[in-house]
Formats: sequence, structure tokens, C-alpha cells
Amino acid sequence: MIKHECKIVGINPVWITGLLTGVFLAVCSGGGDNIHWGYVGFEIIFPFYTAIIVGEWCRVRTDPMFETIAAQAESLFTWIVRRYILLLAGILIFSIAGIEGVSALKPGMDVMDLLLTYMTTAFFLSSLCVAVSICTSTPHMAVMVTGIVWLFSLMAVSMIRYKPVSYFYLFIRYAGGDDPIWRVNKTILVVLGLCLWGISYTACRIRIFATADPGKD
Amino acid sequence: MSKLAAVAKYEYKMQISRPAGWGVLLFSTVTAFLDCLPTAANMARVEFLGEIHYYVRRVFAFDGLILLFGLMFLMAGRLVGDRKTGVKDLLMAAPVHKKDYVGGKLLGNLCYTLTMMFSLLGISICGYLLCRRGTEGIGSFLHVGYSVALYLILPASFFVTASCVMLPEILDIRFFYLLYSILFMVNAFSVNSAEKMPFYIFTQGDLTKYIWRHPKWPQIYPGSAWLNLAFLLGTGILAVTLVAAKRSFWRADE
Repeated sequence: MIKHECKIVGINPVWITGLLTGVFLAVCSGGGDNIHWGYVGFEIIFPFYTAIIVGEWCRVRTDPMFETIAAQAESLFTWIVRRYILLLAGILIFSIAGIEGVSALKPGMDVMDLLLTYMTTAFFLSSLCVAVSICTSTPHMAVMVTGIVWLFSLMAVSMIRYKPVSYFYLFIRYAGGDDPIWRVNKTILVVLGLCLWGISYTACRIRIFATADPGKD
Repeated sequence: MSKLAAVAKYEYKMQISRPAGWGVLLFSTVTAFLDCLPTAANMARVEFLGEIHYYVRRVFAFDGLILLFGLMFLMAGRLVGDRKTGVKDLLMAAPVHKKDYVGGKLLGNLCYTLTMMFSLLGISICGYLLCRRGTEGIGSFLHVGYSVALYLILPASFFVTASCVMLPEILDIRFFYLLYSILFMVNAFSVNSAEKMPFYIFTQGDLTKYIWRHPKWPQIYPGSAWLNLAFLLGTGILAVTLVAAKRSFWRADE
């Protein structure tokens, strides 16, 4: 199964992710110290890139074979999870390489801290992408919805002056959230991500995509 | 009707009937009203909101950027989608020329983007009129409409539309999304200052300083503004040229 999924995904994610990691490290090495490159890269850029990858390669209803898979697969949800994990694992390898690179280039950046920051944000955004891609069959819609959430969060940084917002704000580390707040924030993001997976599971169970009524044919 | 106009008309009808575009416009409008309307709370936060030129420039710098970002995803698959679904093969079998197809797709999507952007402009001006605090005459509203259209809506819409419709035919669509998301991210991070803005900023670059100038930094950099305009138009033209020059894109006899 994994072998078939790898064939479907192709080589493009590998070279694009490799290129992104390389270019990011090159920019980071030449960039000044005014920007926290670790958080820009692994709280903002890479998590959204993960969502793009998941939305565009881990296609659910936009997959040309979706009807067949939905009708014949033992479990549609397992098929989605398998495809998701495969892509996430691929990106994670490059992300870890990138995090190691950034922490080597810029002193004072903890690898585990960046990894935790990346994983939680990426999990939330990619889970949102999966949930939307189950709910709609319009191509690119999942990435669009996730993208708008991402861009709006970027521009709404000043909203964290309201304390409740700081618990939900996507880029709390980049915005300079304090220790207890960012831990709660990231925990909430993981919980929200799990809720989105719950929605995805329910959508698969009740088969919200099944529109044809066989009895009427 | 010429074939180019027919392709453009069909493309426009297809795009304008998609609920997602209207959803993005609604979201942009709500965020624009929450952030920019000259209410007492917003005025306490941003002092220039009572000035129509600043208000409109702020709406497009932030909420116009969100609108363009959403439209990017709706336009990026138009040529690729036709290729994958076989519609392009059907068109190639008909007496439709490459220039008709490419020009029609570009024109239809450009009209769509302009419809959305001008809708945001109209709605935001209506919102301003409801909360109006200044004593601007009709001339101010006409001037703001003209300057926003000329310095922001037209160049930014052309840049985004031409890039989004054409470039995914040249690049992998995921790679395109990544590149342009980073560009939008840089735009979102950029803040107005007394210094020259980078030429690749498209909703608050030096070109948009002709709409409104900060009283503390009234200077304008015409060279930088021209460079900004050249980037926006040049990138769009380059994207169209790349597709037009791609031999494998259409029948071999063209």
C-alpha cells in the first residue's frame, strides 16, 4: 500500500521540499539577527507548506479514484490516515534537517523547541486541510481555506493583546508569547487538530460525500 | 463575437458563479469592517481612519491582500484543470487559436478579479459613509476611487491574475503555491515607513504612497514606484509570454 501511495505522490514533493529547505537555510545564513529565523521558518513557513503538501497531494474527494476507493476500500478513514502519515513523515525528515541546520547556523535555538513548535502548528493546519478536503470536492479549496486562516493569523498578530486570543493564535512563538501561554496555546492547537480529525472520521463514517441514491436509479 | 471574447465570457461566468470567491469577499469585508471602519474604538487605535484615503489604502493593504490570496487558489488551476479534464483537447480540436484561448482565460479571470476588488472598494466606501466622521465632498470619493484603481487595484490584480492563471502551467502548482505564499507572507509583514519599500510589495509598495502619504513621511520615491509598477506588470507579462512561447502547450501548427 505504502509503495503504491509513494508512486501516486511521485518525486515532486521530495525535490520541492529539499529546495525549500536549502533555500531557507541559505537565506537564514545570510540574514541578520533581527528576525527569529527558527520561528519564521518552523512556525510560519514550513507548517503552511506541510498543509499545501497535504492538501494537494493527500487529496481525498478530488482524487480521480475517490469514488472507487470510497466504494471498495475497507476503511476510507484508514486510507486517508495512511496517505497523510506518509506525506507528513516525508516532510518531517526535511523539517528536522532544516531545524538542525538553523540551530547550527544561529546560536541559541533549541532543536526540541523548534520541533515542538513546528509539529503542533503543522498538525493543526494539515488537519484543517484534511477536514476541508473531505467536506468539499472542489479542487484547491482545502488549501485555500487553510491559506486564508494562515494569512489572516499572520496579519492579526496585534490581536494577541486580548488574552483569550493569545491561547488560539497560530504563531504565538513568533509573536513572543510567554512561557505558560505558549504551552497552553500549543496544547489547544493539538486538541483542535484532534477535533478536526474527529470531524474527518465522522464525515467518513456517515459518508457525507455520498450523493447518489441507488434506489432512484 | 470573437473566439477570444467567447472564451473570456465563459471563463468569467464559470468563476463568478463559484461560491468560494464570494465567501472570500465576505470574509475580507468582515475583517475590513472590524479593523478599519472609523468607529470610536478603531479611531482610538489608528488615528488616521477618519481620512478616506488612508481608510481605503488600509483596507486594500490588509483585507485586499486576503482577497487576492483567496482568489489566487481559485484561479491557479484554470489552465491545469482544462488540461487534466480534457477540455483543452476539445478546444484544440476546434478552430480555436492559442492566442484566443490564452487571451480569453487571462481576460476572463482578470475581469473576475477586478469585479471582486471593485466590490470590496464599493462595500468599504459604503461602510465608511455609514460611520462617516469627516466632511469630504463627492470629489474626495471620486479621487480615492480613481487613485486606488490606478495605483493598486489594476496593477496588483493584473500581477496576481496573470501569475496565477499562467505560471502553474509552467511550474508545479504546489511549487507555485509555495512561492506565492511566501510573497504574500512578506507583503503581510511589510509596514509603511519613511524608507523605500521593496519593489515586490504589491498592496503597500511605493506605488500606493500616491493614494495616501503619512504626514510625518510625506516623501515619495518616484523611481521606486516605477520599479514597483514594472515588477507587477513585468511579472504578469512574463508569465503570459512563457505560456505563449511554450511549444507543447497547443497544436503543433501554431
